[in-house]
Amino acid sequence: MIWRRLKHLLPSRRRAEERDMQEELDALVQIAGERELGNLTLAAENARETWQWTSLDAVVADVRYAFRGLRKNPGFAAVAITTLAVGIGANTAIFSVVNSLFLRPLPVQDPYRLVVLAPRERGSSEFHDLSYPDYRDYRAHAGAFSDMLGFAVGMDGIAVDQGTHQVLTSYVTGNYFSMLGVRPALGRFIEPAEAETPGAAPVLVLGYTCWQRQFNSDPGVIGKSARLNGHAVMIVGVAPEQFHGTFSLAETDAYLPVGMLAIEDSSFWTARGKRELRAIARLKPGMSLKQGRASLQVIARSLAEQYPDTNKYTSMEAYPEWRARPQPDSAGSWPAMVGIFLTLAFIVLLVACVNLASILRARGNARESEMAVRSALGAARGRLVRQLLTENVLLAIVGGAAGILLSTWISMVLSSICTPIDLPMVRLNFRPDWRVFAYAFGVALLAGLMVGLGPMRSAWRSNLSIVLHEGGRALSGSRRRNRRNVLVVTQVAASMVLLIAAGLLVRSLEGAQRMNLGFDPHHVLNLSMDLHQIGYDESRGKNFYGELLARARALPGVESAAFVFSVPFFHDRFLSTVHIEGRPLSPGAAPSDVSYNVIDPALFQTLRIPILRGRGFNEADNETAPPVAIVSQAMAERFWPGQDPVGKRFRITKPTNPLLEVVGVARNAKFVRPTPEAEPYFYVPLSQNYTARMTLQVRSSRPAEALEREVLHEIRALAPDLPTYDVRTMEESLGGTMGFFLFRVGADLAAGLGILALFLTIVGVYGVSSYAASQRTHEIGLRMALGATGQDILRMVLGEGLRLIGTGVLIGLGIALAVSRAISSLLVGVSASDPMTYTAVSALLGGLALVAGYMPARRAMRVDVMVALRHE
Amino acid sequence: MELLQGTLDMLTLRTLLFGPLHGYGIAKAIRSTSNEMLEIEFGSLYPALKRLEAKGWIASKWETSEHNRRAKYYRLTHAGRKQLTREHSKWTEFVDAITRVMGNAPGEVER
Repeated sequence: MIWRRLKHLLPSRRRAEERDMQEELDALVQIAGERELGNLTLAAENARETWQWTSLDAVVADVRYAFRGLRKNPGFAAVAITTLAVGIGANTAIFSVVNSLFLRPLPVQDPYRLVVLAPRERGSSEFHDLSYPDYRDYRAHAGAFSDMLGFAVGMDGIAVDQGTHQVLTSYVTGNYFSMLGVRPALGRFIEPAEAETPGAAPVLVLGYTCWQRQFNSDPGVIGKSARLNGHAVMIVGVAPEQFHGTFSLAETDAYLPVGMLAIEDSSFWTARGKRELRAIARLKPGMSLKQGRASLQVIARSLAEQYPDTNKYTSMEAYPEWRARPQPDSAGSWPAMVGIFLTLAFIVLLVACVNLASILRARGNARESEMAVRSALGAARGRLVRQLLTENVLLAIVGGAAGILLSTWISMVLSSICTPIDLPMVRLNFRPDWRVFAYAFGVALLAGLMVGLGPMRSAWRSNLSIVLHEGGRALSGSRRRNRRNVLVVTQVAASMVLLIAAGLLVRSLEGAQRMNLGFDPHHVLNLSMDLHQIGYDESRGKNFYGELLARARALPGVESAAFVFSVPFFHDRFLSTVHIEGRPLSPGAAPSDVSYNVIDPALFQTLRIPILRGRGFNEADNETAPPVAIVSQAMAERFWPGQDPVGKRFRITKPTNPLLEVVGVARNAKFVRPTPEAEPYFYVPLSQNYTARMTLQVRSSRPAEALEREVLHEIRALAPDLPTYDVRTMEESLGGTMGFFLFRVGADLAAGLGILALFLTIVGVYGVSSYAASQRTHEIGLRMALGATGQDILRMVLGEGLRLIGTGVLIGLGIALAVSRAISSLLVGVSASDPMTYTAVSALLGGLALVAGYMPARRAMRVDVMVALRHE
Repeated sequence: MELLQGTLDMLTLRTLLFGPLHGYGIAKAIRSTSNEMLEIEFGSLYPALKRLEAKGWIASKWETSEHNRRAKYYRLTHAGRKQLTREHSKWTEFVDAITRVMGNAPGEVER
């Protein structure tokens, strides 16, 4: 039975069937006469229908027919497929970014049951990490989870034979690999006893890429010893190739026992204030996220009662793992951004589809007669609609395939746009997977339907007699023209919305860059280093800092040099609660979090931040002197409004910590983020707050490359093994993840999409106008014969275009005004209804569209009356 | 008289029970068996034949007619015979049911 149907798929078989049917009908005509048998063409068409409808043959026949149609019109096919490819490609590329960032699950067992713990202090919008004892308590008591792992991410120095490399490390609990259910590619993983027993011999598991890159995939590394930050470790295994660790976006190079965090400070095991771990838990089967959250909150409350010093204000939330990349984010700014860009990309698709619809409309002229003739010969309407549907879907699929190809190229461009300068290890893998293909396919089908709806509807309704009797000219009827006008208006309006969004984002980038940062980023070179990585202790470190500063300042052309923990917009910073002396917290109020920085006294000169009151730090502020701090204007106004803050004192972290005395007030400088409002901020001296990871900032009018070489030379002379990283000018560094990065990505993406839409719209308007003008040649000829001048014709044609484009621009402006609020969270220094953007975009789009409409109109004006009248 | 929807297949199968016929022959046979009451459109019959053939209920073969003319003859297959039995009993049930609902002609309904 199935074979009987399938064999119809063979073209030869089908031809034989067709021949046989003709012979049979001919024979019957011989017997009965044509009159007796009635409409044989209809009978044959219906017979064909029955066997086609029951077999796949119908589809094959339609597809073959559609292919033939495309081959016969290569120009049309090329334009249509390119247009679709642009629309589908843009959408697929944006989606593949979303996919790689948020949708692709971790390559572990049952990834959708993983939940990230997100502890937060009351009043703070940001989540923090967990201390080891807190982690133990959550792990032991959270009943909704079958297991819970903890890990801490670090940048460390690893030395195998010689030379130290900086690697991204994860310090993991003993159940890390077993809970995730991954198997080692080589050797073994870290045993529970090795990970969480004080004093256990340290072991190391290499990431697969690190093993390939730094060890040439040598299986002999197992059992080798290495030095991590100067401590001996033994390499025991290699992680599998697909597994990149649980710190999403970046690839972990080495996994270490969490106990190594306690080597230099054994309070790690017990101090609840030492928050260093991120925890991921696995929900028990049948447990919901809500239940999981509830069970965590119970523990958070009991910890707050038991340990009020550290846990009093801590509350606990939890997010599915894919929602917490790269870290839990309560504001949900990533999903918002993703939604905005998917929408913008969708507008490009809409514009592309409208273009294609216009082209099909023009081409529909010829098709209309074909359809009418087939219909008159007895083809069912359903059959014709199906044929058109097949053609559009085929077009969409070919366009979609081209779009996927295009999107892999766009993705390559995107991954270079989207790799932040300060986090080069970020792993952006936009490689398409089934989700991307499914999305592209869905978008392509949608495009096919959008494009095909018009022609399909008219085929369904096609009024035979009109088409057959009045021929081509019936097609310039007013209903038809109206539909064409709708297409133009839609296209212009959609492009307006997209271009305004793009304009606002570009203006926002300008706004961010134009912003008064409060420091001078020009002519400053940054070099980062971490003395931990070569195992320096505090006293060696302090010597090194002093020595390097002296050598750097002695280099020719160096104006000033200083160490700083967080350079402006650095991805890491200190954040602490602040307790003001003599001002106990009112009950129930949570202390405020303030960001601060550890600096060398000369930083204020190096970044040219003026001290407004009091003094800067100096040599006298050393370990033995009373602890001091310098606060920003914003911090002074927040905590001591109307008073002189100099001489006031405060504590950080805990109310029992030593008091810091404010010795000066510095002008507001934006260290954390380029936001318009100034946040409270303060500085403490490096001499009183030793930190192993610092950045050297050197101000010099000399070119950065020469200076860089000389400074690196001095570092190597002092500590030959010390790796340096993030070596770049301060201006470059402003483009980092916390700096202008997102502004730039947003502006680049939106501008790219905007240019695509603009291009498509111009082409579309030009095409529609040309077609309209050619359709009206006869009418124009008549008007001219009746005395209209070329000027009149030009005015008429252009006036019509102007009206259409104006309508589109106005509608677009209205929609943009209504929806631009959605992107206001991404805007800095420009309002969502920025009149300049709206005016400029209207002028640009309106102007270009008019030019595109003008050229065909000019041609129409020059029409020869006789030719036009004879035109049919 | 117009054919009741869906009965053409059944009528065709029943007609072929007497022996193979060509397409026009089937139309003629139904017409004469029904005392010229049933009007068979060849335009509907022909696709129906193709449909029945695709389902395997009838089979076709080129043969020579009584007037020495070649034509394609359709005959009932084994599967078609079974199908006819099914359709026949369905039809009887259908007629019974309709008759029960319709009862006597409206003029004779008891008051």
